[in-house]
Amino acid sequence: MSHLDAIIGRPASWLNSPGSHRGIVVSSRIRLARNLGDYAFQRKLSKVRQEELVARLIDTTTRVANLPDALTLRVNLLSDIECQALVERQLISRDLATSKRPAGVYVSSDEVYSLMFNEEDHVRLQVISSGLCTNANLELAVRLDQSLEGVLGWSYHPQYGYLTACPTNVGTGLRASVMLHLPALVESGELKQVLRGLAKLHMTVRGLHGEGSEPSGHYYQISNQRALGASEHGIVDQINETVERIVSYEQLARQALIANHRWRVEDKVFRAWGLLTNARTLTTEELSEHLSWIRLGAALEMLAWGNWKILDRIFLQCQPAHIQLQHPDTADVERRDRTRADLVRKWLSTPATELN
Amino acid sequence: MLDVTCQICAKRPATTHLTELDPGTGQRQELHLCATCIQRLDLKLELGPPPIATILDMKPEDGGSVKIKINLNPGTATVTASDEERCPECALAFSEFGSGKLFGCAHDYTAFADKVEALLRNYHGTSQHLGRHPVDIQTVAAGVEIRARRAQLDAALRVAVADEKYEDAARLRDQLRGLEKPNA
Repeated sequence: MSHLDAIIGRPASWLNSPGSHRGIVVSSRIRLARNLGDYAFQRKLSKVRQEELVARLIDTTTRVANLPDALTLRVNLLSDIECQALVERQLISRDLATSKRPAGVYVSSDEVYSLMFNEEDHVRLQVISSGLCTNANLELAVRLDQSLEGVLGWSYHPQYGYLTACPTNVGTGLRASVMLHLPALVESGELKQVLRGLAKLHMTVRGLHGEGSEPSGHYYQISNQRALGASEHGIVDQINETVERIVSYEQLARQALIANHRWRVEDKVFRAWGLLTNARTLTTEELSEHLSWIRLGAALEMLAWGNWKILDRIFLQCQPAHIQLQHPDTADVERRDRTRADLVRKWLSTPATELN
Repeated sequence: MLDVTCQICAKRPATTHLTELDPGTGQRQELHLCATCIQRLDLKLELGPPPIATILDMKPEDGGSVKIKINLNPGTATVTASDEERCPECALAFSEFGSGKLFGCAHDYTAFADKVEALLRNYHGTSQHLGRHPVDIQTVAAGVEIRARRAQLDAALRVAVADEKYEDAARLRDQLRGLEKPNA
């Protein structure tokens, strides 16, 4: 029995491939950082006050947001595996998952909204969905933020804007991130140059799971570095523009790869297919790498098989904590790698007609 | 003050700097400490710091139950820079901000205004927020403007009526009515 029974087996809101831009844009995320005026920031807040803060935020959010069938969890009462599963579903940060301090999370039933309580800031409000839809996500985030603000009263400075524990977030408290799948840019070696250009535009690049995570499976998260000095829409517009540009580079790189080295791409894609449909044991990294080639193969219509729903299911459900929470006796890595391989073989052989 | 690491934990930045002069030889000894280690060692510096040699002897292994005897005759030791500027609300010193880049409370932004200003300009290229405001601030600000404008129009209307400039008065009256409407 896990606290996550209600959500663990189902698809994630942000993973609805091919997303947009022919599978290149996976998902978009908006995050607002907010703090209450009458509590110190996390590092100077006593444990008692942290408990009080989390209880108050859970209570207010439940009342104000009032989203049907939302899930409220006390993160510090969850097991390590449950916390990791929430990270895998992109619902909480890695920092919150490992912190052990009083903390909470409020997740809407569709997992589009998630609010972390007592992270680095008192509230981290996230809206995430698949494809490139930063603008729509911003609208949703702002609407909920305004309702909460009316009750909680955020810490605000007339010149600096919304005050945050880390001055890099001060101002709008906004981080807009877009997750991209960039296998061709990685393969052609052009990615480094693209990333260098991003730094000049004050954009940062992270791995799949945000702050501190290494890129894997050719996935990169692009987000704004500066939160001050531009309006929320200005920040989002700049992210969208940048993403469109990177997408066009990736498309050009894909065309060039096909034109000049089609056999090489085909070899990667079909080797990946062969491996995943036959392997008896698979590590997370192996799966991530090969699944990325299958995703590319499906996007380029190289594979006769192009079942995006299955790709998403494998992507989400074969992560370590997802396996461990749903399959008995998989605490051991070796057993988990075998279960992973079994699941992948089973799902890749599912006929498209059997999917709902 | 330069960035110096605490000599006890060798990790955190030092916030208190003790200097000791041997009255006999004139030799100078220094010890740099962070707030956490001062607390761990229970150093009641406000009562006068103990001699550096005493502090060094108590270097804690577990950070637990080390107790020190307070030097009631602090003639040989002087605190030179322990009273670093701190936020009156959360007691954070700006040097403590350094490692994790996290503030202790919202008041730090005003307590360290000069440093914050420079920090924000350096990172964001500006220190002026251009995004959303809390709804009530907006309403309040708009309310103030409307009240001021109404007072202006009211005065002008009275003058116009007194001067029998009825066309002007009608125009002013329409403007006043316009102010009453929402989103005017």
